[in-house]
Amino acid sequence: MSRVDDSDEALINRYGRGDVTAFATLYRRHEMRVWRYIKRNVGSRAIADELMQEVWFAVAREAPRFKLTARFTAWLFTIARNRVIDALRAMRRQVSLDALGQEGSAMLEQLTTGTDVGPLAAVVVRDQASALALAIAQLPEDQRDAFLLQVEGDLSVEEVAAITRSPFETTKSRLRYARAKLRVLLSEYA
Amino acid sequence: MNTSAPEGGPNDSVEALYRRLAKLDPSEPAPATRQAIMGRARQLASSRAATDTRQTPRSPAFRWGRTAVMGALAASVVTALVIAPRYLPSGSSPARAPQAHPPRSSAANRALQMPPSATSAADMRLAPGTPASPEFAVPRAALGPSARAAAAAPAPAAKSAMPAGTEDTAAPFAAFSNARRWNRQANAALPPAVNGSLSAVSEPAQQRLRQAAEAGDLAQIAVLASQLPDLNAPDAQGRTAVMIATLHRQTAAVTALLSLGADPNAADVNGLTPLQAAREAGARDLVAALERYGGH
Repeated sequence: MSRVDDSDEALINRYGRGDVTAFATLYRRHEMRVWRYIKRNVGSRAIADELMQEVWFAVAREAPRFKLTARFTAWLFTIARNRVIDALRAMRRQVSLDALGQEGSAMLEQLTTGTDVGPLAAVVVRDQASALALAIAQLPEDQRDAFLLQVEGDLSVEEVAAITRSPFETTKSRLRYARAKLRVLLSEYA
Repeated sequence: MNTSAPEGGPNDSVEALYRRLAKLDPSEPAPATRQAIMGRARQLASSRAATDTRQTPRSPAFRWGRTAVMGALAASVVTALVIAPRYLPSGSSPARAPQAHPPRSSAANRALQMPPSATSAADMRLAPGTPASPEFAVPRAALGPSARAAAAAPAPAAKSAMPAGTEDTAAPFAAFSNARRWNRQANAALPPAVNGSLSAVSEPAQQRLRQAAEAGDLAQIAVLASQLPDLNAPDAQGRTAVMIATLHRQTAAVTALLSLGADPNAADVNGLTPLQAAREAGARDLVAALERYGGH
């Protein structure tokens, strides 16, 4: 019995030839990573939804042209990053803590009304989730971008450098600073 | 992955902490977003499947017979296109600029009158005054009835296809735009094997188009565009002529290519579109040009 290649690259090529189930598998596999990358960069849920559509529309449209010169995730997050940059430029502002605070409130509302989380646990979860959102938001944009690309895209430093079109050493420094800052900001939860 | 991460990799404490806390975030895309994405994916997949079905060959015997016949036909057409121009007198194509020739006597002019089946500016479906395209133009005699009808059809006004505000820059290319349209109509009526062989021959021309785009050589772009069926052939990095012209800040070349029908949104292998590249470079004139032609 032959084993079906279900790597990302095989799936996107299958979809490029018309296999829609391959796309569904890919989408499920990477949906939340792309979503978190976008949302933590732009802050607004509505804009993140819009960008999410644009990114996956682009993936679906360009699938036949995908070439095995790069990993699928590197390609995917390059598309996502381009859309995020366009959106941030359009918004003409940096992601503000206020916006994140509003988003966080909505998120916390969901948490506290969840049936699986008791009142005390909800407070703990709320603190931790909001601490992470605020810590990420406090990073400078280039550090945040590099860090999210690496952790959400599961990309190497070389791949992050290529996607951000930055020198390798610069990228390494950004990641180091980002980690150092997060370590301090999240020390309470370590 | 992250094998070369400066401070660890998957086991890095900050990364592990991030992942643990990120799981607590219940945020996810809206159901409508998911539906829209999957709907678009299905729509594109079915349109691709339909295209594949139309291209499915009928039977092995039919395929081999057709291949042999069309292959021979294609070879003879290609041979005629490549070799014949070398043996033709240099003044035999009226498509060349008239002022390039010295004044001729009326007898000489009569001798240069071409029969209806001969190669001429009209046969090449070029607008009067446009440079000749001896390498790829197909003689009228080699065309089928539908191709001849397409060639005889009046060309629509090129200006109508141009976005508002681009007439000044794009106007010089209107004639070439017409020539491209007529060439496409005529080539579409050719047998598939002949058309395929023309595409293969045009590969070096595609490369020359990208080089012309890089250098901002508008004359060369105009000539090549009148010959090529597709202005969006990418290089190994997926970059089209428009993208290359954008990366080299050749605004006039970008405008010319777009006015000739090039795709403003063809992304490279990294998903970068010309408009995004122009924005990253801070080239406002390029951004404006691409946006005028529907770049996004």
